[in-house]
Order: sequence, then C-alpha cells, then structure tokens
Amino acid sequence: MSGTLDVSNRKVNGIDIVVIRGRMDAHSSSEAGTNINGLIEGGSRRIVVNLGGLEYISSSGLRILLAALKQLKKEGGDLKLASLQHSVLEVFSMAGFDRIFSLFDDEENAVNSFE
Amino acid sequence: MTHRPPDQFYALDDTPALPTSLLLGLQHVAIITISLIFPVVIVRAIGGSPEMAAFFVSMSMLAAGAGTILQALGREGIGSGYMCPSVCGPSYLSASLLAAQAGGLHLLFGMTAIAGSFEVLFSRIIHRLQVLFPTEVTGVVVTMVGIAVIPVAVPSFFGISGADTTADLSEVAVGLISLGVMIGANVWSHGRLKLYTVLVGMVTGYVMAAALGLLTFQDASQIMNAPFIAFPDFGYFGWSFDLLLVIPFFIAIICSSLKSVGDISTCQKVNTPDWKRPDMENISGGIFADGLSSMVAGFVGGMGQSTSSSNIGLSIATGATSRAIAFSTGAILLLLAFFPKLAQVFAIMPAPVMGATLIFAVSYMIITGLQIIMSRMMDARKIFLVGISFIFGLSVDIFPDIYQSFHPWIQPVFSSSLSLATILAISLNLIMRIGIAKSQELVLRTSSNFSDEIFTFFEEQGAAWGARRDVIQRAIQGMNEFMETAVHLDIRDEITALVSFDEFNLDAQITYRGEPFEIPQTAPSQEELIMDDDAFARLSAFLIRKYTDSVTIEPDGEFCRVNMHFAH
Repeated sequence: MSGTLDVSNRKVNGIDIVVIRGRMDAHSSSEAGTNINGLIEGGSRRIVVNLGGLEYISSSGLRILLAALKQLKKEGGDLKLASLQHSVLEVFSMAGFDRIFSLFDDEENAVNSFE
Repeated sequence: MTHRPPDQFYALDDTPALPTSLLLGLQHVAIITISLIFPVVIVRAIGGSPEMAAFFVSMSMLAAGAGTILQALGREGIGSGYMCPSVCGPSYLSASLLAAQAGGLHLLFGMTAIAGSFEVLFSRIIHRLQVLFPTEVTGVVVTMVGIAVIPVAVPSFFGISGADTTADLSEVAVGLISLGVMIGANVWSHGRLKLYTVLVGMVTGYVMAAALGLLTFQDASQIMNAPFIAFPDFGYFGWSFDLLLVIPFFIAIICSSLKSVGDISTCQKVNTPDWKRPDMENISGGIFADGLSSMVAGFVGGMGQSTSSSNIGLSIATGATSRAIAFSTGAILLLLAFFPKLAQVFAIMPAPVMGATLIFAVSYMIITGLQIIMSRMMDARKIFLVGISFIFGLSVDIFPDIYQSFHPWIQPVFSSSLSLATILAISLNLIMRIGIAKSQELVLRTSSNFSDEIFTFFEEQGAAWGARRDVIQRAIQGMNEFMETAVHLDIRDEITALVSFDEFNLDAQITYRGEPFEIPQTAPSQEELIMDDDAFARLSAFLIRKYTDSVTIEPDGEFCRVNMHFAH
C-alpha cells in the first residue's frame, strides 16, 4: 500500500473484486496495476473493480485500468467498474472512458452482470 | 441580474397574482411587527404615554414600509433589488434609548435622521471595502445575524417576557403546535401550501392561544376599540440634536450596515445558483436604501431601520423571494400606519406564536451562513477567525454581565452577539492576512512523487487563500496532468510553477526546459486509446485543457511557459 492508495481483494460468487481507495496518480496507480495483473496472471478472467473509495484519478490511473481491460479481453475475460464517485465519473466522461468500460452503480450489479 | 434558482416558487423577477402577493406580504408583515416591540420598550423606558407609543409605532411602520420598497427598487444605486424588508433595527436600540433618555423622542428623531444620512454616505464607499468582507467573514456575519435573534425567539417561544419568567404549559403547547404546523407544512406539504406555512402556523397559534386562554377578551377588545382609520398625532414629532450622541449613533449605523452586508449577501446567494462571493456594488445600493429608510424614520418620527434577517429566512423557507412581494409588504406597512385596527391584530400576537415564527425563519439564516463559511477552504487562520468571532460573539448572550461595565458610547458594539462577532471577524481578517503571500512557487521533478507535492501545495495554499474547493481541485488535476505530460515528454530538469491567487483568479505559470507540446481540442478516440500508447500523452494534454478555463503555451528560448488560468 502506498501513502495515498489502498488496494485490497476478495472474491464474490467466483468473481474477483478489487477494491481501490484513495488516489490513482502517476506515482501510486502502478500498485493497482500490479494487483490486477497478478490476478490475471493467476487465471482470473472476471474482475470487478470497486472504485467507491477512489477520490481522484489521473490519466495514469486511467491507463492502468485500460491496460488491464485490454489484457483481460485478449484472454477472453472482462473487467467491470463499480460505484464510481461523481468526481471520478466526470474524469471518465471527459476522457471518453465511460464508453470503453462497463460502469455500474454498485458492486452487486457489476457482479451480477457476469451471469 | 440573476438566474432562476430551481427550488423557488416565486423567484426574484416573478410577479405573483395580486391576492397571492398580498397574502405573502401579510405573512412578512406578521414577522416585521415583532420588531415594533423596540419603540414600545423605548417609550416605556422614558415613562411615555400609550398614545406616544402608538405614534412612535405607527411612524416606525411607515419608515419600514418605505424602507422595504426602497430596498426592493434596485435601480440607480438605490436598493439591492431584493426582497429584504426593513424593520426597527436592534442595532439602534442602545443609541435610541440613550437619546430618548437624554432628550426625549425629539432628540431620538433628530439623531436617527443624522445617523441615516451617515449611513447613506457610508454606503457610497463600502463597495471599495471588499477586502474587509471575504467569504468567511460574510459567512460569520450571516450566521450571527440568525443567532442574534435567538435571545428574542426562545424566551418568546416559552412565553417568557419581563416579569413573567416561567413557562406555562399552555404557552409551551401553543409554541410547539405553531412551530410544528409551520415545519410540518413546510416539510411534508406540496404545492402552494408551502408558500403560506408561516401564516398557517400563526393562525393555528392564534386559535390555540384563544382556546387555552392566552388571548383574552381584553385582547379582542383592543382590536374592537381601535379606530379603523386614524392619522398619527404629530404633536409628538420634533427634532433636536446632541453632538455627544453622534458616536453611539455612528456605531449603530456601522453595526446596521454590517448586518445588511450579511442579509443582502444571503439574498444574493439564495437568488443566484452559482453565487461565489458578495457583490459589493449591489450591497452598497442596499445599504444606501437602509440609510434612506432611517432618514425617513427620523423625518417622520420612527425608529432607525435595518434589514430583517427573519424575513429573509421566511423567503427562503417558502421559496418566495419575488421583488413583487417586497412591494406588497411595503404597501401593507404604509397602510398599517393609518389603520390601527388591523395593526392591533398583530400587536396582540401571543408571545409563543412570535417565538415559533422567529425560530422557523432563523433556522434557514443560520444554515445559509454556515454554508457560506464552508464554501471556502479553511486553514488555521480562518479557523481562528471564525471560531474566535463565534465564541466572543456568543458570549454577549451567554455572559451579558461581562460587557455591561463598558462605556455607553461603545455599548452598541457589545449590544448584541452580532455586533461583536462582526467587528471581531473583520478585525481578525485584517490581522490574519499578515504573512499570506499572493504568489507561491512550486518546484517539481518528473522523477519525484510530484502528485503528493502538488496535492500538499495546493491544499495548503488553497486554505491560506480561502479559495473555493472546486477551483483548487481543478488546479490540482490540471497540474498533475501537466506533470504526466512532462513524463511523456521525458522532461528531466526542474519544473517551476509560479501560482498566484486573488479573489477572482487562480493562475499557474509553469516553466520547463524543452519544446512546446500540443494541447489538443478533442480527446483521443477509443480506438487510438486502445491501439496507440502515445494516445495517453495526448489525453493528458487534452485533460489540461478541460481542467483549466484557459491554457496557453509559449516558447521562450530553450524554455517553455505554460499559462494555466482558473476563474475563481
């Protein structure tokens, strides 16, 4: 865990949940990338990233999430995002990432969307 | 002047139907009449007759009516243009008592006219004093304007006044039911009932008070015996002056003007969805009208006038801030001065109904003030400014004895929690400004944890400057995206950012050694982002444009300067 970012994992109905809290910036977002890549390398193909506790994301953070999505798609999997705060959702809209990712209001809906 | 706020039934420029305007005006008059207790207190203090009190009250209503209309005009620098009624100003009470005791009502009228003319002159320079009223000071004043009504509102709510120091069960019941009906009608009702919540609560309170014996046959006979139409007895009118009283009246108009700053700022905020700071030109017009209404009071034989915070609270609560309601309120007050029978209906208002009405209206004022304070970032300087002003201001109501030994000339400063808190907030603001630089330099390197440095720098500076949170947030985002662009450009030397702030602008002038880069107008496409790694460099640069209000980039020899501007 870096000073500004907290990443944790759990499993719900066989789906990996990555919970990211704090700030995803140039310095800290690599930790989130390492975590998600670790899951993919371990065979996980269905991942939900819960961003409810994410306060800030820069283009570096967006890049990490997009790289993970690309990797998963290549492996036949998918990555979905849940519970984005308003300020983070604004960044996604500005950058056009709301059209690239599947966004869900809450984690439960994101998990159910895999079924 | 303003955009229409979404939550208002009758916004500033709306014109309700005449019956609606009159009913809403009557509702406001009901609150205004509460302040008529001050002329009565003054006459009783000098042993005057009920007829003298009746004249003083009638002429005070006349001045309040004129003041309410002048305030709503908002043309040619006269009035703020808002629904911000005039009432007998509590700030004038101490000085008016001194004048009445020293030379009777004639001296009070003469000095009130002089005070009003001083306030008119003061209004012409106050807009140059923006530095005295940053947002946190205005917020303290608005909050205290509400809090200052509590010592009148709560005892009235429990039916406590003068020698009656205990709360009867029947009085508590009337107070609770009146307040309950007002709140219930405001929170759970739909449609037009919300407009008349105070009127509905008051009528319920009057009926309950009659049923429980708080309104007696004697009260009813006061209405019956009052003449329908009567002209005030001008035998009580006259003028005299005393140079020694100039100072207490001058302090009274300063306190009254400061209260108007808070009241009119509240009107601005309520009527302007994207309100950012007090508009001092508009406030100047409002204080001009405030001074004119006190001059009118002095000319006709009324008490000095101030803007009424309780009425503004009522406007917010009912969602009816239309200027037309101000005109109808003013007209009703003018008429009441000549219709004693109608005036008596308000004069016999049971104290618990009065208290419930004030508590209902003032709740909104206090919350509006706190919202204004918290709309800006706070550092230790501002925390002490706000905290100390509140603590000593409130101490006037909690420990009034402490301030009673002070010289009568400066008593107006300590006459209410509002006066002391306002004067402290303004003074502390000036003191706390010492040592705050308007510009600060931030030095960054792409190899360091620049994001943390940017967050720390802007959060500290934003709080020191009292900047808006949303603007500082955009500056942080813009600066971070610039640094991420610098990473893509492989800039390894020191990057300096000179960040400067004033109330209207936040600017960052960033200097780096290297070539200029393109700041695109559009974001990279979905395909580019997925297929092309360099697209992220363009995304960072594009986001800079989105976060700033304007951005330019200019080469300067081997250096480049990026100018980011954020409107504040």
